[in-house]
Amino acid sequence: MPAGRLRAAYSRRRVARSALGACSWAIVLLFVLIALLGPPLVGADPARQTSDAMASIGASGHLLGTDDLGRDMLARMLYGARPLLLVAFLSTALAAVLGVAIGLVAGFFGRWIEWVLMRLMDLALAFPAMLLIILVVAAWRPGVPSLVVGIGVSLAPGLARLTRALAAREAGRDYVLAARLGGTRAPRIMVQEVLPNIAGPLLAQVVMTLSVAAGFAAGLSYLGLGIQPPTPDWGYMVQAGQEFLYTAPRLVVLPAAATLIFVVACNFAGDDLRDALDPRGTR
Amino acid sequence: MKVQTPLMQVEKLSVEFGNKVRAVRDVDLTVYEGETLGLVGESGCGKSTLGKAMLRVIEPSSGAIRYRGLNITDLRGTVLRSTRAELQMVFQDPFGSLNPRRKVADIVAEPLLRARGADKKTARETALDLLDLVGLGREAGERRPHEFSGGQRQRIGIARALAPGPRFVVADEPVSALDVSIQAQVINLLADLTRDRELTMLFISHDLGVVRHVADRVAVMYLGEIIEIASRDAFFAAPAHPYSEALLSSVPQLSQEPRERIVLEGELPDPAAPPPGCTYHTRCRYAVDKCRTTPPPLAEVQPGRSVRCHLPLIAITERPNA
Repeated sequence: MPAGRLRAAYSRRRVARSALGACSWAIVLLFVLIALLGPPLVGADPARQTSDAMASIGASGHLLGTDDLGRDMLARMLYGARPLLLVAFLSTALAAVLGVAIGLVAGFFGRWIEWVLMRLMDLALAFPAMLLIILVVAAWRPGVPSLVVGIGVSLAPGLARLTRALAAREAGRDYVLAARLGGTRAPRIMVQEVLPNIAGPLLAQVVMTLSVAAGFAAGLSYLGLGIQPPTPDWGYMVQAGQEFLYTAPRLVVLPAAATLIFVVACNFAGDDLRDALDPRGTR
Repeated sequence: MKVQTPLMQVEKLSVEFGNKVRAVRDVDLTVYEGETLGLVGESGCGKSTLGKAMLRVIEPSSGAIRYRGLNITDLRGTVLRSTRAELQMVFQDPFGSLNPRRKVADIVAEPLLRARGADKKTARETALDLLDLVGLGREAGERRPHEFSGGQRQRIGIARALAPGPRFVVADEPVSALDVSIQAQVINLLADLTRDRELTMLFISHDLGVVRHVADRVAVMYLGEIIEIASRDAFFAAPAHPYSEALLSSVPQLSQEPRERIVLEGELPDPAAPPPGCTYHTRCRYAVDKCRTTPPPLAEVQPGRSVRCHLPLIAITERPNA
């Protein structure tokens, strides 16, 4: 359903109407393409060390130069997109599945079920997200699975809250009552009747959650709790490049800027999607 | 007089909301097989709540609901679902009552699939037939609700209510959201279907003109209580409760002599704190001391006619002859 709605929204020129929205979507798409296709296209090995250390931008054979170990920066930048996007997308998907399921059940049934579920979410929200993620990563071991679970779980309550509010509003509508009268069971009513009617604002929030997840992923890698070397990763690259900040700022600026651009683009893309799917705007 | 079998009965039914508001207070009401009972009253008097409680979509706080003699008050799960196939509802709001994301054929087929266990093909065929029956044509099935007008949407809602083959239908202000020019069409459709399918109907409305057109009997509700119940002809000839009289006097009429218009003063009292004695005494122009202290019972004043009033208007007029 969301896919169909998206296609419809795009074909009616509702998505990406503003220049900002269009740019944001283009950038998000570009990053996804880079992560998927970039490395094989370039063909360079991001881990291969050469004697040509600290080559500057435009050096022969190294478009973006090399780092302190003589590794090609272009290859490292392209490969570095992978872990960030992988963690961001997977953890957002986990947050969406958890948050939407919990919020939907809470909002639809109300009463004590809602109370119990939402107090649990409040409890999770009361922890600083970063601390919660570090706890999960430290208890497990740094890597993609622990990052995805940590970030996903810590971002789920926000989505659960939004879903609960939207679902509770819809649950009181007459078409839900009609479905109950028609003998439709509660799980089916939630998925078939309620969910499609709240999918718009949820989807927008999910895209925005993507930017938060990407921020966390990069931040944790920077702290050394995320992707472990030698896998190239933007967050780790910023940390490793720090000591050369004055002599070779590109080692820090390139991965930091790439992360920032992706996070901001996701945020504006979510904004654009929300505007496009807002029923008050067009219908 | 033909023998009347009760189809839907409520006994001492109360519905209380979380904020101590008793929207329905100790209501006893019987709807007989094959009749259309008009339930009237102003906004907020609890008539929709009563209708929904009968169908078990709002939980009563006390009292019993009997359908064909069977106590359905505590039914749950599968039994409730199969019973409810015979109890359906037509909603007031033609926009909120249809899922905007689904095709009309799917909306109408849903109760057939769930309540009647029909297979997809049969359900779809029956749904399209029903759309044809309510005057929309089979091709309406492929479209979505927003492509239809308010009156057409009510027809879709009627088709959906008919789909599981109900015997009892609650029509909750089915035309009050529609243009006057459309109201008559939808009313007539409902009346025709009720007759053809031998449906029993609780017709909730605040429009006495409409009720007079469709109802066999009329029940008047005020602040969560039934205050008068009578056959249509007796009711419209001479209302027995002062509130009924005031309601009737507000209906425009094309008749002979100009009628006194009784303007109700004040607001409907707060249902969370109803006045002592007769709940209507704060607005009643006949109220005496007794009305302010003692709540009147719902008493039969003529065969088939009950009034909750110490000084019913018909008793007053008949007393000299008695």
